[in-house]
Amino acid sequence: MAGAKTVLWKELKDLSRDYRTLVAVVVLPLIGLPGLALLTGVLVTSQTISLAVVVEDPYMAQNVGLLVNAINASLQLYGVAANISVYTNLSDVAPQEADVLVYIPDGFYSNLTRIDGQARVVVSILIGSQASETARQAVETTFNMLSQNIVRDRVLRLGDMAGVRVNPEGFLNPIVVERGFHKVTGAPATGAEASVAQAARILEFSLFFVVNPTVVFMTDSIVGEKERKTIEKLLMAPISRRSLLVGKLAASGILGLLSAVADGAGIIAFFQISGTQFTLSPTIIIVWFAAVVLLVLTTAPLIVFIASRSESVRAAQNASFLVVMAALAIYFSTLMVDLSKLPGPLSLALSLVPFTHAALMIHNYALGEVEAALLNAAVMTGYWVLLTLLAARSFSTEKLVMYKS
Amino acid sequence: MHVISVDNLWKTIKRKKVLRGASLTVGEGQVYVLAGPNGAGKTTLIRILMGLITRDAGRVEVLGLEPGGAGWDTVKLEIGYLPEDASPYDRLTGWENLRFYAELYSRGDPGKVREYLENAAAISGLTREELSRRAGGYSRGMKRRLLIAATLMHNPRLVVMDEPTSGLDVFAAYRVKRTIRSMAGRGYTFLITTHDMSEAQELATHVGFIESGRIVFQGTVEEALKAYSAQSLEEAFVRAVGGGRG
Repeated sequence: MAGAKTVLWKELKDLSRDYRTLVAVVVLPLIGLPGLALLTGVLVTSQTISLAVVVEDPYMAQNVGLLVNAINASLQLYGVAANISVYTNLSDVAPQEADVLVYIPDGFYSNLTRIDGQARVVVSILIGSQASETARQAVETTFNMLSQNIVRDRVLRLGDMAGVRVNPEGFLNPIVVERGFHKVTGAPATGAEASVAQAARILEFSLFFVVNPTVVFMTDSIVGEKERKTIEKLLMAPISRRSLLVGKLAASGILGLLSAVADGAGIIAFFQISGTQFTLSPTIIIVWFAAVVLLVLTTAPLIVFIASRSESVRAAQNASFLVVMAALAIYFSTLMVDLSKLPGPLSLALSLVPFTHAALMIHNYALGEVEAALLNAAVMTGYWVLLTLLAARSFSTEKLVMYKS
Repeated sequence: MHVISVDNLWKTIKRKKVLRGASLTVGEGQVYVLAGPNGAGKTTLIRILMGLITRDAGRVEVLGLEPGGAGWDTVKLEIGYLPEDASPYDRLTGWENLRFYAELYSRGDPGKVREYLENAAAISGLTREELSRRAGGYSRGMKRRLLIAATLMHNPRLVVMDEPTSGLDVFAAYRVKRTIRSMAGRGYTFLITTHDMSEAQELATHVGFIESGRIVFQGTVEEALKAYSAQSLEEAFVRAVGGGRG
């Protein structure tokens, strides 16, 4: 392998000055994803909606301050800033000026205070507005809490009338559903383990971000040398084709890992900043990292195979697009589909694609199936060896020199 | 002793017979200029000699070995090769380009790396400040000088250059030719291809004329002039390969 280290040094030096690639692969996800979360957060919190509360019920009108305070508190919990206006007549409100309209008609209070009365309230929102939709949820939460208090009061009153002691909570929630978790092996799982298994789906999807830079780098590293007319002199240097290939694959591996770390950190930061629950354990991170390494090692020789047969970077990238699309299809589906639960023929077809095993490696480990995860790692390793041997065979000087650049 | 020996070489590329029984020999210390029109098969012949592409038929020996065969990686240490239109790595500095090749040719011997870098700096004629700049900013002539330095830095027994002055301006071409003459004076064996006959006349001790994949003449410059009763190599070349075209 004499010379592989020198080729690796050259590739990394060259890469370190290829600012466009570095920005796209490392800086963009590292800054872009948290930036996106920050920006979204800032935009969401900076938007203010107009909320009109129309109270035609005279008693409620006297106590509208309490209602508005309760709605306001709920809106704050949902992170919605609102300007609330109160009206006593529906005809005073121009609906197009209100993002959310809460209408409390006459008779609301009397229905509410009757032992079996059903009060009616209308909440109308501006269609196509996410903020209005969130505000609707906040308003409905306020009325749900009010409803529960009314039920408690009615149950206690009925109990008094009947001369029995009753627990209002039994009326509110006659069935209590308790959550439990178990692993594929049947062993019980903790809530934290369930959260990690859920977060693993995001990690599986994040594998896609590793495939793309590996494809771009390997394509440029091989066909780019043809186009830039550096390959012929390099091939005549005293270095074996195998060492040359190893040097280039190693460089691609380093870029893939950099990209994985940047993407992983970016994704975690995105979820942290956006306040989404995302639980990871140190071991799942290690398994994810191992999957990334195997994925890069498998993707790179696959691209060598394509690139050494391509006449230009563009032609190689077009051909590699199929590889990227296959990876995207698999990793995007992991967000919604349980790959290990697919029917036989479909599962078999997917298991022939190396990318599937990288996702399954994380998935199986997260579900507690360590042996299955190890098997996926072994299959990936097998693919790596096989594809590297194929790449070494296809990496012929004649193909590299003779295809027009 | 022959440094290069080619006998009855055939090669077809994309159904076109590019080489049709080409034969030539290059002896130790010769500056052999292989001259021929565009498309005559010069680059294909050179690539076969360098083991970069295979041949269909014929016998080839370079420095006593079959190109691309067993032991070829070791023979590469004794060859300096400059392909046509070759370019340095644009994002590396001149020094880094030279260092890359020095590392490959020295096979990790730090003493040799230093020696090759010193050789290369002297051969290139580029200043330290110029060598510290990225090669992407070099002129065409500077790039070619850098690559010639990378080709000669390890004192190869055989130097093969495919159209070394192609596309260069007068000054850059002059510098390149001066470097070749200087190295030839120190006993290096050169095989140079060109379609520029004045360049061939300036550099060659021996010439080979190639036309449609066949070597139609080879010998010393004097023998070429005598064989075609010509005043210049250009005239000899036209008579040798041009037929009625001249």
